[in-house]
Amino acid sequence: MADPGKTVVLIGGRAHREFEVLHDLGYRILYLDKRVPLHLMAWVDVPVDVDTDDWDQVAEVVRDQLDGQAPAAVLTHVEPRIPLMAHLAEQLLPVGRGLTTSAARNCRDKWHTRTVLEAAGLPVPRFGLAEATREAARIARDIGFPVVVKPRDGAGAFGVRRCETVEETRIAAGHVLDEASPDALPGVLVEEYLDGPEYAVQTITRGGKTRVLSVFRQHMTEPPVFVELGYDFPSGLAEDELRVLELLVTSVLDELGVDDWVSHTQVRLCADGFRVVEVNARRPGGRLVEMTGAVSGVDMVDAVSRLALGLPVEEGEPRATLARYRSIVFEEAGTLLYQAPPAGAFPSIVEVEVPSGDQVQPVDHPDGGVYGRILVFADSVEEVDRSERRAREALDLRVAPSDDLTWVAAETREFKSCC
Amino acid sequence: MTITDVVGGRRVEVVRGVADLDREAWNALVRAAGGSVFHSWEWLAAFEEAPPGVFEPAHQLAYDGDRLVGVCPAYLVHHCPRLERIAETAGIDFGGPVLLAHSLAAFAGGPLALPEHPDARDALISGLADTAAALDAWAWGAVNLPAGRLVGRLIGAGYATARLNTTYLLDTRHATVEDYWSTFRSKHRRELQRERRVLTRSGVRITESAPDADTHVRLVHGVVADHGASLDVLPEDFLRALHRHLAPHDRSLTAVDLSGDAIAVFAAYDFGSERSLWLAGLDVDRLDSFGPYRPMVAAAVESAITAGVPLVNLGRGNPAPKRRVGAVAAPLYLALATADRARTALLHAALRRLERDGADHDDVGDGCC
Repeated sequence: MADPGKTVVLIGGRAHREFEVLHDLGYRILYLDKRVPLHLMAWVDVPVDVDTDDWDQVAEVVRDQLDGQAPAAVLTHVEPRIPLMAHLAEQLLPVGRGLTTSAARNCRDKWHTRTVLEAAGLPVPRFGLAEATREAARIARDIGFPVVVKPRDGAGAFGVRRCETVEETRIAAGHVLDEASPDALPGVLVEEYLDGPEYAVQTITRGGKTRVLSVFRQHMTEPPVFVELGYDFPSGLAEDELRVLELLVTSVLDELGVDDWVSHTQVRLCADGFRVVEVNARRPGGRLVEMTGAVSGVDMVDAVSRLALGLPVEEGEPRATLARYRSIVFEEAGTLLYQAPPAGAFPSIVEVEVPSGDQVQPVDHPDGGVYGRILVFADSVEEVDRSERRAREALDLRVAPSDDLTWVAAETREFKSCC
Repeated sequence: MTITDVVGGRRVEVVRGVADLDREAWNALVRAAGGSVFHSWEWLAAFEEAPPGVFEPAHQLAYDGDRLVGVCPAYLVHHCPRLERIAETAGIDFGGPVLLAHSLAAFAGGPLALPEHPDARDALISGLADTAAALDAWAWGAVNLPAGRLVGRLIGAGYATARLNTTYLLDTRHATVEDYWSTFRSKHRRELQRERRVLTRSGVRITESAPDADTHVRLVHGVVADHGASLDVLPEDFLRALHRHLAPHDRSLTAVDLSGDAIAVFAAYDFGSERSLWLAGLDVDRLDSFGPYRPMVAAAVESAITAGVPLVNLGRGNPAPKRRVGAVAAPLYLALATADRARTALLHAALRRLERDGADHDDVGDGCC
């Protein structure tokens, strides 16, 4: 492959922006995935199908493609591939840059995250790691109900469930243990349920200094399942609360070893203060990158690409003082009917991930969740309200009951339940 | 070799053999810090006398002024069958000796510090890193660390970690044996009584005594061989050395038949606030299964309660009968670090693989205890 020094190894990902940024910066893309989708062929320079669970094989493929020379960077925006990305970067790059293997694991493995933060005296839910349903039940009894059961290294809210009883805990833990992928870390996490409003905090850390780019108030469905319904900016937190939150997230990232990278951290405000729920060493999903870009002036996809390459990060001016993000969800099953808005019809983002005529399920159904989103930016509440109303009127979303139809899951949805 | 001012003014001294350790001072610290027999001077002496491999002692001692406030037994491991099996499972080739605190044969490892000097643990960990550099170790770290703050600190400091196996702990703080059994359902108690009657009718009784060294070795090797494991993880000389050095702490249980011959053993040791049931042995020529196992577990628990021992470590493997007497799983971790960036990446990948593919090795089943 021509000029390895101008080649970025990109692992997985489907969003056009991730490819566009690298090409705009003047780099070629060596793209690796288990099976490279046909529509990505036009966006990459060299597509390679490789078993991304076999790290040694992936390293060999890269060496072969680059004639043993170092690439300019190794990058992924896909949560499960972050440890592989860090591993390859440390194996292939001549100097350390971006996320270390240790920091990648500390964020990816939720047990690591909690263990490190607890040892550092930072606030996390009480937790335990179980390798069997019986052990999960014991941990739940020790913690006290309700508890939350979740995969140790799952992405988003998949498999996450609030449990009120020993029996519910056993069932939820059994699901996680039985349905774990072969590459999953062993065990199921059982932790204290935290009651209180949730916040999503987006950051960029450079040279050990963290800048909080955005703090969004996060809206979720009622338990037992956790589906993200929307986000608001500003978050509604008072100035002093924001300062405490920023200090906390900065300390959290420092303890986990996250440097020269971006993050998306979820925090709950409980009666005794903030407590850390998740730390993701990546940009957020959904359209929170665009929302963060609008209110901070920093494009997190561009920023993390530059950090991986060792380039200076560009910071622009915020474009809006208010932003509202609402997930498109449904209360009941049926056939979805809507009017597709013409491209560029709205100044903000309106997207539905299934075509009109597809079947949909309720928000709390295992095959339901989020079907799209409306994201509006403005400088006044009235303007935000108006923009959202216009978008909804134009979409004219309707669900026709269809109890007699056999459910067929759509394969077009990128983000089923969360960011 | 002495390293000074490692952390916060703590002096950390490295001692290259138990002969240079003050036995009483060492054991007093281990007891005060909540350690078990696996950190005791006697265990280390036996290990040094007949090591199950090639090990160079490099024990760390932390001082506050002249006062010993922390200890961390450690060895520069040149050859260890257990470590080599771990490396094989993890798919990594250690390119040289590894400084390990301290033994994969034990149920506990890593630094111990007086409760009022918790920072001595940090000094000892830093001391390990310095010693590893001085001894040109490929990597350094600790094995069989219990879950908790220290593991969190090591993970946060960039150590690669993996859950290596699980030991089973039982809280034996009960006024009487009857109080303990009253916490169980009557069906469970009746089952155990039935098993005990069957054992008694067959002429087997359980005694609170250790067999002689020859019998001890024969019974333990019987189980190891019966599991298809190599005897190199528990070589005869090592077992004999432990039998002799740990005699003052021995609380073994032996099952004997009508003729008084030992047919099964639980090698157990009291140290500090823990009774550790380290090894099981069985006359596999006479018994084709470990029939006395559950009654012996129950007897061990009752013996500890009667003796006022607050905690019994029932050891690794065989979880079902241990859970039946109320023991809870206590994960044990391996944490390793190197000073080299590429080696660090290899270690992280290897220990992730180990945790995913090779966790919870049985105690003697595959020799990884």
